[in-house]
Amino acid sequence: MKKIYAMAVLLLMAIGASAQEGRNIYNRYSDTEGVSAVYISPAMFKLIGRIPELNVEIGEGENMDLAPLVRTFSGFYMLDIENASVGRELLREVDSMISKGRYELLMEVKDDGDIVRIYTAGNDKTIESIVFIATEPDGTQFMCLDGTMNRSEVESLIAKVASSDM
Amino acid sequence: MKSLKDIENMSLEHLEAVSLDETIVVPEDLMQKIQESLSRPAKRRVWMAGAAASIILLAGLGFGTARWQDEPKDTFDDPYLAYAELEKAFAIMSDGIRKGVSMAEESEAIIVRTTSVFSE
Repeated sequence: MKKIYAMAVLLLMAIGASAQEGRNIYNRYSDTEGVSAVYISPAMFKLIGRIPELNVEIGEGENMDLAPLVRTFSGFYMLDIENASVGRELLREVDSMISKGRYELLMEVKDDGDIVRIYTAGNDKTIESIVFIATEPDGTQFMCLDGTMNRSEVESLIAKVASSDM
Repeated sequence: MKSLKDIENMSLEHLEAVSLDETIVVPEDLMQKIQESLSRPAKRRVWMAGAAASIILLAGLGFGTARWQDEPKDTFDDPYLAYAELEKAFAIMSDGIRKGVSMAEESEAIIVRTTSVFSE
């Protein structure tokens, strides 16, 4: 019986910690000089989900209603960093976050000094978090989107976006 | 003395005969002992369940409060503006994805060309 209680408490701790990573990074850098920050809360996502027209063009003549997907988002954190040393510091912090093993690399692009990496966390059916980090000579961009997104829906959206010539 | 299994295997007639046998003396405190043995573990279970529920509730409240305290302030009050920013973010992510895919396709074309040169 004691084991069950201990597991329940540990589970609570794990749930609490799992969605904290993007927020911790956001909180640490959002007030730093030379950093633009954007946060969208779960409550705001609910309001966005009520916007009647959330159709976006995802391919030639093909539209998609993003409202159902947006309603599964629970937090969006974005940092746009102009200061190179702050950007390097953030990159180290993201690397440390990734090394914990929760996130797996979805895609990495290295082109002429620019690096783009996309990571996802979750399981076979659900994506709980997407982290996007882009480093260029003139800045670093960090985005973290938390939620309970259907993995197959997100992957098919990515495939459509990748095959489009927009 | 009969075991619980022996009693369970007894027929109804046999049980009735035993209950009517006045030579068998029933201890006076039997009922009290049964009640005590029934109530003791139940009380313990209730106490343990209460303690566990309290711990989980406190832990939940603690995590909830911690999360609430470090919750950043929404950048936008207007959902349309928030969505516009989200669209911009999606566009940046899409560019990154397209760039990766086009580079992979270019590499694939080089690999195909190289393979065909070697195979000729």
